[in-house]
Amino acid sequence: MCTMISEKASVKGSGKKSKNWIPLDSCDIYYDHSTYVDCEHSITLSFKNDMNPIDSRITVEITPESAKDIIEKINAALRKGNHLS
Amino acid sequence: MSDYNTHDYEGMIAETITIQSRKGDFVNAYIAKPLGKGPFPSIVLVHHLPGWDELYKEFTRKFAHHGFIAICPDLYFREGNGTPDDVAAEVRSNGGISDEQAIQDFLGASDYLKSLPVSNNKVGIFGTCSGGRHAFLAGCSSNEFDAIIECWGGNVVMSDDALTEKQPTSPSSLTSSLSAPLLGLFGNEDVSPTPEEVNEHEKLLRDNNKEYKFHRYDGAGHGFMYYHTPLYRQQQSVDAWEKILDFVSDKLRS
Repeated sequence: MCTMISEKASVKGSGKKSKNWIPLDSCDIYYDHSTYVDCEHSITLSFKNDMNPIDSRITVEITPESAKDIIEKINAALRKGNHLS
Repeated sequence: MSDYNTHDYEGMIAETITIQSRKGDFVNAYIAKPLGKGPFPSIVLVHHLPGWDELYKEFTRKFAHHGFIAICPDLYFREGNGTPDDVAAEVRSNGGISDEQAIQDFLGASDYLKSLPVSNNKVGIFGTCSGGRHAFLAGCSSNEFDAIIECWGGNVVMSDDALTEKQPTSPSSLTSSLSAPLLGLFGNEDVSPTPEEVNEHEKLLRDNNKEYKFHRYDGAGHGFMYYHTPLYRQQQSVDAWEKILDFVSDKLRS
């Protein structure tokens, strides 16, 4: 069966859906079989606005290796920009 | 599998309908019916965790092509309207659906099938992934079905710490109540269910003297019949469909 490995993060941000930006409140993160990307399992990030939790979703699917690389690069960017905030 | 001759007449009606769950409320379902006076055997299709998607509607029509009235209820209907991917993501975010609700929907689908004048009153149930688990669970929780097809049902064998409010019982613990012949199809490279879990599942069936057939494919993992994903394995998938159609023809046409 597909996994139910799922996490949820609170988000204060916005995302671009088609041509428009929308406010985002949370992100569902799950580890499961890939839908499209060519690997057995993938990490999916599904951002949403909690007032419209189905239609608002902005979703990406990446390999676990890509997820680790992104985490590392986000942390690096945060370290570099920390003195600006 | 039935022979297909190019000069044979064939046709079907396939559409979205509304059915009543045994729970009492109404959900959408996709039905595909062969044209003709029948009587036809029937199949309830239990969609997988990714939702009530195009793949499952194609599976539904595939069974109708082979002479079965096939129906696939939308188990996520109550969660809202949207693309299958987005609705499934929201269901996952909410911890899935309850086993009890799903079973009531399958029973409602079976009620609908048996009410049709072209039905031969024999109904099978087919599912993959979480739907495979649900199909087995339905066969252990009711006497409604005459054949069960479980494709790579993970979490059929559940440890106590995996149980939740929505999944309060390990289906394997209900094996003694299995009420119909079972066909199980698995990939030996799957991690849910693992080959060891399939062994445990099979041991319980054998110990309880249940009628079953298991086929385990080398070179295949989870979802090996999903032609639209990287999981697809062509030879194993073709063989599995032959086994499925042979099984349901044997159990439901007589």
